[in-house]
Amino acid sequence: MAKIKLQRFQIIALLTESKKLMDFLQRTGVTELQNAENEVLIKHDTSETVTELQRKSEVAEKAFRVLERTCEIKKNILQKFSDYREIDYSEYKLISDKSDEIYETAELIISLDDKISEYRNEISKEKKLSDYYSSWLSLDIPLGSKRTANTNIFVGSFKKQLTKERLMSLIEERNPELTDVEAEIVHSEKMLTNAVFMCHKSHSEELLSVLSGLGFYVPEKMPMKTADKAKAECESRISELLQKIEDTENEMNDYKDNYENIRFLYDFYIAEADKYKAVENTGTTEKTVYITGYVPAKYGEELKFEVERRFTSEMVLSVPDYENEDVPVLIENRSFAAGVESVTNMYSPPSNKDVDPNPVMSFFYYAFFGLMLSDAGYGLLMVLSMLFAKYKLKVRGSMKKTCDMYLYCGISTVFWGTLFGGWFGDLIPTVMKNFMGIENPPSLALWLEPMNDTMDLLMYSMLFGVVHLLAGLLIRFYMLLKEKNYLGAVFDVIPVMLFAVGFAISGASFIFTVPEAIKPYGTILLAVGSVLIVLTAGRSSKNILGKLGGGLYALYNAASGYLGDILSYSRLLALCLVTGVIANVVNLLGAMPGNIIIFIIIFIVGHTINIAINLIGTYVHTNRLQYVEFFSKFYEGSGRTFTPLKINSKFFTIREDEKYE
Amino acid sequence: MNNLGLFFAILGAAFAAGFAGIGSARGVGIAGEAGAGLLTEKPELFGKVLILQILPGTQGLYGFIVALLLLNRIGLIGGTPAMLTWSQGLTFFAAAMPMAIAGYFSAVYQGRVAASAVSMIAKDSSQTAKGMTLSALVETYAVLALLVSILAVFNIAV
Repeated sequence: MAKIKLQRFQIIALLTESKKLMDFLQRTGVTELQNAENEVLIKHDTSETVTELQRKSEVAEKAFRVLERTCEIKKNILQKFSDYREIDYSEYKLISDKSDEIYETAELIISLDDKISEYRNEISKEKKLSDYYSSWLSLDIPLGSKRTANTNIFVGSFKKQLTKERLMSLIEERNPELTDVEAEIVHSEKMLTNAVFMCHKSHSEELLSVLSGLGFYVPEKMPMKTADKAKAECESRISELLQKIEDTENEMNDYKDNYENIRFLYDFYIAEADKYKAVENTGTTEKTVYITGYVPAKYGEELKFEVERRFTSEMVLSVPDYENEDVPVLIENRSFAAGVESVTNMYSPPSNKDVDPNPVMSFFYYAFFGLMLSDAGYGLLMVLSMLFAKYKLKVRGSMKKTCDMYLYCGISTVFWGTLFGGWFGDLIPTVMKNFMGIENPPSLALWLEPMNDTMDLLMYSMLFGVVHLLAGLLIRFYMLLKEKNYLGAVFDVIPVMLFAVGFAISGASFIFTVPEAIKPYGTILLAVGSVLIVLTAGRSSKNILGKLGGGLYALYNAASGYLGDILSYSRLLALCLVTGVIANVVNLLGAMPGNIIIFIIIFIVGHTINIAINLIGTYVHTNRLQYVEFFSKFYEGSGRTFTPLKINSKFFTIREDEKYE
Repeated sequence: MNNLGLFFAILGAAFAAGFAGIGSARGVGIAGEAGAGLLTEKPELFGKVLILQILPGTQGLYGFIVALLLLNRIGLIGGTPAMLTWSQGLTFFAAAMPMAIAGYFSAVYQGRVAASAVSMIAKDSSQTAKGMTLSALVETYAVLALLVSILAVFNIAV
């Protein structure tokens, strides 16, 4: 199985070399550091440095987003999905040495961007002002006019619509003595009335108090210019600001070449922050640093050699103490089994007691997925799109594993679809019948037609289920053997297996036609299994009644449990049929109008929806069969995944062969 | 009036698919509401919540299977419709009832257990397996009902 053995390592090195040593460990990316606890060791709090690095990484991110937005960095469709470049380690060193310089550029870019947004704010202010002046255009005296020799002038606005008559009558109502007031309405709209009032100096205060009561206000900073001039000045300021924006954008364009470096910087700071987080696990004395953790056993000796060659240090490897240490678990599989790792981890990562379930599970996972989706056309689409993602987009990391999973699921779907004769439902027969005039198109199914051989497929579904469950029990058997619990292996697993097979055969004979040759064996297996369960399952109990009680209880559990488990696999049939039925309905709807173009439109829309619905359903139900039916037989989970200290980069990868020099 | 036998048989299929489906919809809905609440706080638990939510969906599938087998048995799909008498039709109807009734109620209750399991993993996400087991226990009775319905549908003489 593909669980990688880990070794515990301990390094003592010179304190002066500790930074380089940490860099080296991070670059190799194979070690997970554990907290070094010992009273002689001094611990270091790096949280401030980490926070600072994280802040810097945010600055870098902001800066390259600004560049993307402002300088319109073109990305083709491929780059939108996966956009990274490969660099050598020497290049990594080279750019990271320049990190402070690049950081300054990043800050500069952000300050330029701040300037631009400041200009934009000013422009919108000027625009508002200019709109306001527009509403004064018909007034031919300066807006800021206050008085003539003997009169006072008030230029201002109301925030409501008023007519001259209404205004005059309102003034008269409030102060009948004000008779020599001249008023002119310059502009009037729904929420704004601009007006000019003039009266003799001696009455100005009375007039002002009446007007204030009516909601009249004199805007601040009314210029001593006529409205059209003021407006023109606004316009010229706007065009000046626009020019400034363009200049700033041009200035920013000069930094466009730093785009890749700033993205690098983002990754670099994140990697540095990870490293400083890991530093908290180390301990130092006056002259030395002590680092401990886990490394995959296959890299252990090589790492020891390299560490001791490069640094004045001593490295010790040992077998971890599984009883007392929190040893992480590292799983490594080939792409076939690695695809379903995420499914397992979603349930719970394997613990040190578990065997890696992925290799066995992957086989059933792909088989069941294909059986449930069961349309060769859909499968083919999956295969093509996943191949595209893998080889054209070159996706990495967990995305690559997911792609692998759907690739194998797709292949399996093509396989089952071919057996069942489903190519986009009954597309080919429908086309032959409706557009080519062939009356009785032949069946494309190589094995069963789910719609007609429902019962057979139901039987096979449950049969596959029994195989799946037995596989789970076999793993349990293996695990118990490995723990040297031979009694448990023989008594806890074998009777249940006999029981389950016997139960399946006997049960099946109620519904299906079971060959006469097998029938008696079903009864025999069931009987032997039941007797063995009753006799052995209660063996931990002290007295004979307890033993018998425990045995009977186990038998009841096995009967109800396995009945439910096996019937649960009928969902294989159900989901298989759902895909086919909906696909056929889509084809039927498309063919009804008898027009090839309408047919194509309905075909594309309908099948897209069908694929979407059934992918989700199939994924969920395949997972369920693994989690509820399969894992319950042997899997414990709740392990801690091995997460090595490494350079987690989004926008670049360091070439693999460059790891050691 | 001649075809009332067929009518009752189809009514049985409709009840099996319909009520088990409504039950599942309610169950999945109850669990989904609880799950959505949790996901606003801990979006990384999406996978686990999804599994808990889908558990009460099984009854709907079981109901669908009973309906399908029944329709297949009376020749409505994959053959010519059988001429059923009144009593035959009612017998088919009766055969579908266990799935309709137990499917409906078990799905709703399973949904409630699943919702509780969601609040359980809100506190400790390593407990998903236990929550799933608790919820799956409720399903046992839908499984028994499915079995009774299938046995009955297959052994009615046409």
